[in-house]
Amino acid sequence: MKILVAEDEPILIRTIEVRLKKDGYELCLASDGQQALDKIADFSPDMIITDIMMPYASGLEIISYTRQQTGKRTPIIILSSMGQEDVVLEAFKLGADDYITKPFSPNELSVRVRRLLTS
Amino acid sequence: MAVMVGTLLSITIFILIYLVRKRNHERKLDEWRKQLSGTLQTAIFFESGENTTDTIPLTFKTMRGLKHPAFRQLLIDELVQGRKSLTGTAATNLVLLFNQLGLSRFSLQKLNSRLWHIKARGIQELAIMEQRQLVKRIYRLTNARHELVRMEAQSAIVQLYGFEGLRFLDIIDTPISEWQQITLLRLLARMPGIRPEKIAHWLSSTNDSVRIFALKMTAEHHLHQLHDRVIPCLRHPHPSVRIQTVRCLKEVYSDATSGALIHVYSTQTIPCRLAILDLLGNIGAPDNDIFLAQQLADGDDMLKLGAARALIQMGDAGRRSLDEFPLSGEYPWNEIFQQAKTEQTA
Amino acid sequence: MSLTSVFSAFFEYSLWLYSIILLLSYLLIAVFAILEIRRYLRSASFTDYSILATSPQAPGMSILAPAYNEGATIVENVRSLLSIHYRNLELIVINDGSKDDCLQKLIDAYHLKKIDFFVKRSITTKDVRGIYKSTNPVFHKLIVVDKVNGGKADALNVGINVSSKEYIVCIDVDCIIEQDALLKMAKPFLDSTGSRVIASGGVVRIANSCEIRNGRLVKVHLSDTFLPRAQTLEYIRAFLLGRMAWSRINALLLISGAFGAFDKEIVIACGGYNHATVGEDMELVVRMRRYMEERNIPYKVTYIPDPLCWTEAPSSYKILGRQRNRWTRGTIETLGMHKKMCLNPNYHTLGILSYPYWLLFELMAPLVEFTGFICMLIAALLGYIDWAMFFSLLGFILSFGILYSIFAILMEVLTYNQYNKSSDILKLVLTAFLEPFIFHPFVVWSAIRGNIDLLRKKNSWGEMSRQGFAAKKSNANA
Repeated sequence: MKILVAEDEPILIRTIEVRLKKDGYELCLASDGQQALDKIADFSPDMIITDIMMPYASGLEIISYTRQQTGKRTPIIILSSMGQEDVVLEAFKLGADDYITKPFSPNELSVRVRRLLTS
Repeated sequence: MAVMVGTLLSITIFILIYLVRKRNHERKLDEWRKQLSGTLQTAIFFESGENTTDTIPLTFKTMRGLKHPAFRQLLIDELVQGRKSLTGTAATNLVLLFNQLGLSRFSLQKLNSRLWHIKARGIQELAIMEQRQLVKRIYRLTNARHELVRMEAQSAIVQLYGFEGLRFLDIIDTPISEWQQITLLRLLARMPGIRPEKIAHWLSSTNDSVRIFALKMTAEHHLHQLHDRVIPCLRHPHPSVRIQTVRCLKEVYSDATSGALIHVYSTQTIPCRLAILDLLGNIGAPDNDIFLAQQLADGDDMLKLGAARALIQMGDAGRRSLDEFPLSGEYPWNEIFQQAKTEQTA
Repeated sequence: MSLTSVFSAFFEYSLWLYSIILLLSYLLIAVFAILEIRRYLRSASFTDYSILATSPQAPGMSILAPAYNEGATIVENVRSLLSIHYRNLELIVINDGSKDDCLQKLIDAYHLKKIDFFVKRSITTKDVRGIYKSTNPVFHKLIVVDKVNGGKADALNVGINVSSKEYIVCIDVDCIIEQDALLKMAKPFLDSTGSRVIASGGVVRIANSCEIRNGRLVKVHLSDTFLPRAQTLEYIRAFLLGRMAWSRINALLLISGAFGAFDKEIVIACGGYNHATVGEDMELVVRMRRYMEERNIPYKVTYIPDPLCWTEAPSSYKILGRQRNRWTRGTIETLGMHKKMCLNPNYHTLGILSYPYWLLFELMAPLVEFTGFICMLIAALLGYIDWAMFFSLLGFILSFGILYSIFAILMEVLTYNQYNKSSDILKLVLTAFLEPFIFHPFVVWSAIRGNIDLLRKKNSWGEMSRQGFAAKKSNANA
């Protein structure tokens, strides 16, 4: 199972990487929105985890791009901050499947990933 | 003239040397960051149990690096950043590492610095890394000379003790900036232990910014029981308090609210009136539409629009009032009503 | 002692006096700038701006971006502006009666639909032809206003009328704005407890030769041609040193029209932008300050030194000349409109310090330089003064100027260090040496032309052609 993670904060992306690698997934990392958009086509992930606020392209653009460009219904989890409830709603309208608010627990993320990928 | 040329050349050479040193320093920091990344991940995913000791294993390289002040500070920065972004066991472990390495004494040292921004940094570090045992030192700084140090100390106490940390609101006589209020509200958002009786007390504070802050908290936590303590603020001399009161009432209104709002309406500033009109529309009490219809004739066009929007919010009765308004076909009412109507359907 | 020698001595010494006062003021500016930037950087070092990006308490901001014939790049510009991190934001693009397909491009790219919108006439403007919003919720922050052509000031005033937020941020639509720009610009308004912050300015940086992708600045490079490079140096001097210093004593007269935030209530109370001048950005700030001074309300105008706004500088002498000509005319017109403040103690620092300084040392400096130089040259040629005196004065001024520029480069390296390659720094130093011989005389000459043109009552923006950011291929793939 391949997962693309788009997150600009170094500690967070590394933590997510370690956690999900331990769970046995293959990972592709992007530290900004533009990188993420570029890698979606090449990497063909089975799931995308993306932050909302990132340099160059936002999580919403990534969701929009994934839903429109690729044929598959790739599950998407968004990482939001406190106070971004309206953006989260927007993300769901665009096709996101789940969200987790920062600060979050890596173990919780792991559980949500597993749940989405097995359903 | 020679002096000038000499100075010129020396500055240029200084710049070039500085650039080289800075680049080297950045490179070293990057190397250290990579190294510490491993350390952090070890800590984050550390599992302490019955049979293992409660110390997080560290590499020899890391232990050696700790002797270097810049390396130490980098580690503290990374721990702080990590603690801010993570919760659960991961967060606990980062604090564990911070304590294990005795890093709190370096943050504490910062509190003794003469430079205000170093003090403030130290306070932040201690607060985020949950160093409650040092709260006395931090509390002393809530009276510091420099405004930004005071504010950081206040935020730190709230971070460490939650709502109880707001005790300083009882005695503070300087204004609390909007920025500080935003920070405090953010800190309090995830904390239990809100005490409405304290907030009620602050609603009558002589310090206007404390009052405004109390109104914001009342709104944020939907403290309906404080409704009657909020209403008197509608008559406060300062317009910023009054408009905050209206915004607060949007979250805690009762049957009595409409009457109180209509009663004070004519003495309010235009921004405040707009907020009142919006709130009346929200409340949607059956008799409000008569008052709102009267406001359609106001001289200010934005108030006309505010009244129209409020009437639309009230449903059919409101729409009827709009249609029945004698000048509804004329400018500017025709455009105003049209906008209010289309906004609703959008 | 003949009359001519008395006259020439007097002339010579007043020139020395003028120069010394000017140079002293530069020293003071340098000191104040250092203090102010240091204060700002220290404060920013432990501020978490991201709280503001998502807080519902953050004040509403409307970005006003007038557009005239920007069809080539408008879609990209708007996309870049829409990606700014701020929750309570509306982006108002005002199509000032463009003759090209600017409006249509926007309608197509952002799925715009004309809506019913009542525009409050807080400020009188030319007619609005229509207001457009997007049917796609991703672009819900965008409002496009189509209006009859009326010039930049008029377009901004329409934006003010349409805006529904507390603060307005006036920009040039083709400027690249950093994603956290608004967070940094909003903070001063939230920090103030005693005085009301009525306006906040931002630093404008030169984007020529920088790598730009999809409307975002990816990598900073120093321009590879001389003219933009000279302007880079000039902007560093003007923004990092000049404006920060003035802002420290709360006596700043000017906020760049390319990037500035304003308290809308005060702007409307003052009557909005004045379209009778080509320096409408400066004039508004002066008028807003005057408004607060006359009512004795404590207030502040702040400045953010972070590089938040990037613009393309003129790369041809013709366009540069027009720009400087316009700036001069704008300054003269503004100072003329507010001459009541000159040396008037009722206006405190503004009247006693800012206005006279701007008049004598910003406005008149080119004139003094030009006439001074010519007269000294003639005097030397005719033997009234000796060549040693001539060259020593000239040398002194030149070397001080270069020293000041190098100092500005030092400040830039110590603070933001946008040009961190040694080769770039050396190029800048070289530019500092060449500037007094190539760039500066041209600027002085354009300023003189500005004076002449104003006397001839010319009143236009001239035609500003832009290369467009997309035209310069990014080096990303090189």
